[in-house]
Amino acid sequence: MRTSEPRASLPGLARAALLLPVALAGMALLACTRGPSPERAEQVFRFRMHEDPPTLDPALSNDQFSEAVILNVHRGLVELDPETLEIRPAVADSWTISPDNRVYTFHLRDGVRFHNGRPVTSQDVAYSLRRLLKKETRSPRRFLLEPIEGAQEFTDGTSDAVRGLATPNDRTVVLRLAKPFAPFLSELTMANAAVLPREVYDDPQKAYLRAPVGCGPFRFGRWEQSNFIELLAFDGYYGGRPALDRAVIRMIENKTSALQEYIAGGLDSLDETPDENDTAMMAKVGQEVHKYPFMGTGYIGFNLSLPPFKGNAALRKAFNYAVDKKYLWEVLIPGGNIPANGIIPPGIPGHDKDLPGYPHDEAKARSLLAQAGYPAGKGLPPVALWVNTGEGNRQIASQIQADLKTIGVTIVIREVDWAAYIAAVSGTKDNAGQAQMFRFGWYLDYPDADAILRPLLHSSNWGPAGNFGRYKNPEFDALVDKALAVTDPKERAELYRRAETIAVMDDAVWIFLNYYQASTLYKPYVKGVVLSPLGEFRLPLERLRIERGTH
Amino acid sequence: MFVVCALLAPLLPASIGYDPYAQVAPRSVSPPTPPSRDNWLGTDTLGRDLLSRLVFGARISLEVGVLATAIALLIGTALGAAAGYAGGRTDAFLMRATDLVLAFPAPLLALAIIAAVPEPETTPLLRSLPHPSVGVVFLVLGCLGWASIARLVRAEFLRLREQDFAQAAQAMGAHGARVVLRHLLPNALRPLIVVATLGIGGNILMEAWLSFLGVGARPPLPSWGTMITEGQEYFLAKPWVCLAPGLAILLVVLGFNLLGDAISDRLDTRRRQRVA
Repeated sequence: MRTSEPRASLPGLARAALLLPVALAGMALLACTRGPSPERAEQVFRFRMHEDPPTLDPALSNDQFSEAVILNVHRGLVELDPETLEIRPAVADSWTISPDNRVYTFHLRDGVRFHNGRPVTSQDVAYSLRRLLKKETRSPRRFLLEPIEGAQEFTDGTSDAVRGLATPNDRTVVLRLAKPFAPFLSELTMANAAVLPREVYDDPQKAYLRAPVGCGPFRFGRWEQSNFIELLAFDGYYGGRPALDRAVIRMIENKTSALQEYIAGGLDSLDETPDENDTAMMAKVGQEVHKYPFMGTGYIGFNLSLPPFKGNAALRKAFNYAVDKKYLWEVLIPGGNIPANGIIPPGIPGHDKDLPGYPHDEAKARSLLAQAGYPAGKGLPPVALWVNTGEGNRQIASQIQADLKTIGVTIVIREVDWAAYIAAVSGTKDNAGQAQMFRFGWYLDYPDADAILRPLLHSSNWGPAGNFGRYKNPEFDALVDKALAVTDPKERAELYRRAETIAVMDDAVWIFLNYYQASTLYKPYVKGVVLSPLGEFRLPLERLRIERGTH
Repeated sequence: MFVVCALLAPLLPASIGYDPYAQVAPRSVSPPTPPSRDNWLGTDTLGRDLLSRLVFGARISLEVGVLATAIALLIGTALGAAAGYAGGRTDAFLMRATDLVLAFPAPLLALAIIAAVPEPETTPLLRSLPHPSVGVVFLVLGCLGWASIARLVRAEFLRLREQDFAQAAQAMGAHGARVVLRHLLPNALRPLIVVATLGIGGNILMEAWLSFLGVGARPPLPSWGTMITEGQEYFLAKPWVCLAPGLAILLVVLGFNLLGDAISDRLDTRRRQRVA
């Protein structure tokens, strides 16, 4: 089904009033020169997202769809260049780090304004960071700021101020950490640490959820639920007005519909590409496919707080050996992913290409299953595997179902929409959620093994904070924590390798499925595309321009 | 023919050597593979034999179609008969209830109810069924489909109630239940058979639609609707994957509709006389 093309957000009359002088001028020019209209065509970039983003509140965001919008509307003190993966100045144009690696002093850039016109001050930075830490905010990512001295006391309510957060003047922010923490600056680049205007975000009615205000290159236009989100160029952006006038994010869940829409010209980019065996389709758009590695790992999580996986590593290993990852990614769904042997994706310091992992081995799977107490699957009730809606997920889940059936295990697939899925998988701190098994993918927010091991497996992020599998191993925690204080890259990588080996080979915390490879379609007239190892949804829209040639 | 297929389906693995759940396509070729000598209709997106799944799918479709219609028939007839025979307040109350059910868009209501039962495999009543996820579907469709049947039965009863034989039975002091069961119901049977036959087709279509949306039969069950969803991604490149189940639905629903029409023609005495 074709969705209707969203139009400009101005009401009809206002639009007519605005266009009238332009039209008159155009006619006058036409009369003089009789040449082509010198008017610059509107620059619009339309890309596809599967579903509505779950939230537009930066503090609450914990997924790539939300971040795709937030990172274009908002800016934090620093930003991560999605191309080079370097940390770059954003709202702060420079910073210094004390010799003991504990005190970070940020100097704010002049002329940064929010979309409502107000200049950004150090007070706004302090407000935003405190908001992320506040208990009432219920941010799943408050841990990002935990290294700041006094952060925990502030969250607990035992202190009214964050001890390690100071604003000596309007243009300076000082953050003091309790102890050195190597990835701290990287963490500040994340969407959650965006600088927000207090007057908008203190609204008890939470109007900002549907009309966010930030200081990024695009201001928020409109949001038609399940249809599209429109972003408009912000004239006052400190980095200069973006070349695009508008960006339209269209929600199209179905891959086939999205592909047809791309071919029909309703989308300028698409995050999914045709099946490589589909020669007819590849002939049409094959030239527009861009393939590039990106930092992410796909897996099937086990809920270690729920039976049958609780305390049964042999069972988890049996499941791992039973699933044929090579067939899955090289034959069934070729072209997109690399079979995984562990957690840390290639390219990230700490990735271990020699980790044995769990190559397909039915005999081993059977013997481990018996060792786990379920010979040939006897006595094991059906296990639920949760996935969010989508043919891709259904195909993966069905293949895993078929693979496990061969060793006598019955899998029941629960296919629900993203919001219901996240609720079932995350549960609460005290409630383990409903999902016994779940398919999940994680894209690293910054190029560091800590950005995958900590959020997904460290016990401090137990439950809804990201450790959905509820894994807790003090030895693993200690290694990951130790790596943070180490500055020697070799030693750090070695610590991460050891932590990974524990989680993979000893504890088999997931079914380790795949390392991601991105495959995205871009129309040839879209220029300035960044093929980011952070994934296609980390596209910096402010660098794009449309060059269709003149008409 | 489809009925025969469905009944014989359990013998299938033995007869042609395929199980609808087995991945039979060679492990070196990306499924779906095209029709071949071994797989007459090719294989689906997971390399399972499409023909075997189609035949097994007939069981699911007929199971839902027949059982949902039976439930609807049971409820609809009971309520319609009560309304038509008792009249008065009972009639008014039951008919307003019927209006209420008819006023809701049935597909949406079905979607909502099914979504409210997220785990049929562990729900007490459904757990004991052979395919719990299909069980929800026919129960819900049955419970939503009775309203039009109730109306039909009521109208029939209103007409029959006033006829001589019914009046006579009542005058002879027959008990209410006896009048309804022995005298009125048999005479109202003809339109009911027609509606039921048409209803089976409608319910099969509805099951396919729900499964297509992913809320009906759960994988790996080979429901025709699910098979279409799985195949739609390959619609242009490998059309047989979704055309085969699509054609099956078309033929079965068409079959039931024609059957309904035929029965209707047969039973319509007035038209037969005219033709004669």
